[in-house]
Amino acid sequence: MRGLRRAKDQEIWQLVTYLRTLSGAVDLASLPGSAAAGRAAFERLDCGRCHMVRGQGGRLGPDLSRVGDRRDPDELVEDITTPDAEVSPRWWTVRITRADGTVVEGLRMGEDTFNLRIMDGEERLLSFAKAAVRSVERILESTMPAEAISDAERDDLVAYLASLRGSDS
Amino acid sequence: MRPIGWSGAALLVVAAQTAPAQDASGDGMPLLSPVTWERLVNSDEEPQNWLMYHGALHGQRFSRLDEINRENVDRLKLKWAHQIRQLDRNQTTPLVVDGVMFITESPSNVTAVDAATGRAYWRYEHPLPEGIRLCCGRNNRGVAILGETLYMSTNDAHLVAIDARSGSLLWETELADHSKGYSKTAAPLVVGDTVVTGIAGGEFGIRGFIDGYDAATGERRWRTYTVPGPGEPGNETWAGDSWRTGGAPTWLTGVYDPELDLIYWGAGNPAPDWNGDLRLGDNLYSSSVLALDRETGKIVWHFQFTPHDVWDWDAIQVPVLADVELNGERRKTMLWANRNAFYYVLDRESGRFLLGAPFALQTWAHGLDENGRPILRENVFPTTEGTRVAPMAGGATNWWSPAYSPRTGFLYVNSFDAEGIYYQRDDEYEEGSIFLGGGHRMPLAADHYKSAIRAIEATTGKIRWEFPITPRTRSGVLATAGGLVWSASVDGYFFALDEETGEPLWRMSLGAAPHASPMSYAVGGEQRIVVAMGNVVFVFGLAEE
Repeated sequence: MRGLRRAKDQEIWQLVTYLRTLSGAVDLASLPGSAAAGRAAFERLDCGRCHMVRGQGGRLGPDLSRVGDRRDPDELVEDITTPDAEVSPRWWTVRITRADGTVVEGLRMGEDTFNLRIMDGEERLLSFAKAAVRSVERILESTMPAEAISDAERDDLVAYLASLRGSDS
Repeated sequence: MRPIGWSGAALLVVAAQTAPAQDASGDGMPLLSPVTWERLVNSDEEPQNWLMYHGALHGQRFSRLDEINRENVDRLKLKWAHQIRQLDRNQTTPLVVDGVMFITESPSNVTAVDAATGRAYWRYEHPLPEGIRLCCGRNNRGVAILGETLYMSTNDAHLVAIDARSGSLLWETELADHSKGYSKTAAPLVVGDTVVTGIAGGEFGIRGFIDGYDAATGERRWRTYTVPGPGEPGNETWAGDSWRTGGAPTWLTGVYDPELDLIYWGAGNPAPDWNGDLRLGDNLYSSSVLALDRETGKIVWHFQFTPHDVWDWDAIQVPVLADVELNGERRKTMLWANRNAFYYVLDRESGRFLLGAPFALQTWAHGLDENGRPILRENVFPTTEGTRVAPMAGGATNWWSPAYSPRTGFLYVNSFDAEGIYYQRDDEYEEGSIFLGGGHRMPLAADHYKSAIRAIEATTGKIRWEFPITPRTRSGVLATAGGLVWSASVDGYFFALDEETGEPLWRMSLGAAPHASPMSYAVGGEQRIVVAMGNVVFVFGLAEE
């Protein structure tokens, strides 16, 4: 890339401003909801049962400590209202039937040609050799429960989640 | 908390065995049960696991597994390998806990994999700021564990706590300002419910320390400076204000004796490295070992191997704790093959010097006096023209682990016989900048010198055998109850030696140099031997008959 040694200061700042709009950094004050109210809703809905935020919470959903860095508010709305729309393979559920017919389900932490590693509902790590099990079934839906929430509550949750930006938040 | 001695091991093992831990991954049984303090104290009783950087609190790097032994080691074959993503020095000693392995990666990351297959569960990547000052590479040597939490040092001088099941960050604390030259590379040590950890940056004129943190919260419980401040004993060993930039970093994991309730930790070179005129005096506690009270971090005793060190001979080696018979008496000792080429035996209760002898080429001292203080030869200090002295600055050995086998009573050490030319130059401290006060070079190429794995008889300091390897090799040593001593050479070989004779019994060319120390564990009842070489962690086991 060619340098910007000949650019004027004003042009450089215009470029910086433009690049910042691409980085996804969101002005929290521009969001309709209240982060404080969103945090209360997060607690009321027991989201922490599955989601960890700065070391507090469960392991059965994505760690949300920096979710505001990686998801924009529109994406957060989708994540909350239509959780099945885009489930990352890491959060698929697999149902494994052992050779003896017993069944175990868990989140798909890792899968390769020969092996499968899951976290079950009790947050235990389990490892399976595929050759040693009878069947493996993938469940591509999210394990997040569908909660009836108001639009205002949704906006509050989005404001709270958008505020979770690692150490700065 | 009441300290728990190794003598109480039998009682405590019962508790450890009631844990629902399984190690036969692949069969869908739950893995990874909480690692209690009792399990850490009694880690020798569960040799299928490798629960801390040195394998056990005593630092012997000896595995009680004996499935792989002198009779069958020729059947060893590669089981799996883990490729590290970042190209850099690979200094990791993985932990294994009930079928899950934790591998640290450069610069400050950790991956959890299935110990049976090497396949990943999760990966934690620590975001690092720009402009970190490191003397010697973006290294990380390992993690510690307590309960279900991993503890890791990061290059930006932070300590992080990570959930061992998911890789989530639980807490993070800054030890010091990385822009001033502070950094962290070593695995922490869990002692009770305290995470004990050191600091690096001896080439930047930092003021070294050892810290203790609340394992649950990351709150600091104590800090012990390795350079005493005004009014503290030892400050008089630093001329003027030189203590402020005195170095004495603590960049390798220490050990702990539960019976004496003492933490032992080595301290590195004084700063600046090679110009002692800028810091006249013995420069306590640089190039020393410290015994610390567990609860307060207070210094109980110290022993300085190299007073007024002007050669960069950090006492950054593993304090190996072993109970041995000296003059007909069972003694609680600390065995230490130092970077300065002398082997020491100390009374670890009092710090008293018991025995010392050179284990590698040295030309700087006539010997050690009755207190273990070196008797210096003439003209060994760095000069502007250069002074030729053995060992070279990298030392007769360095941070890579030795191994002690209670079967043979030998301390196995990777040693280097070489000389260096040491230069003294003026220097002025500038915050965050390299502060060396001179320079160093080897007069000849490394091939002119000699590296060897040496078996030092712990109670006499005599070399019982040596196995020459290509110079200069930076590899630790592992001893196992199968009668084997494991190490690697800079030309890319990983090998096993007979513990009694040093005879090579097995080798494999892995094609890249080592920068780490081997370890051993078992999964599904089968022993594994692990070594990090190049950017790969290799895992070996016996081929089926």
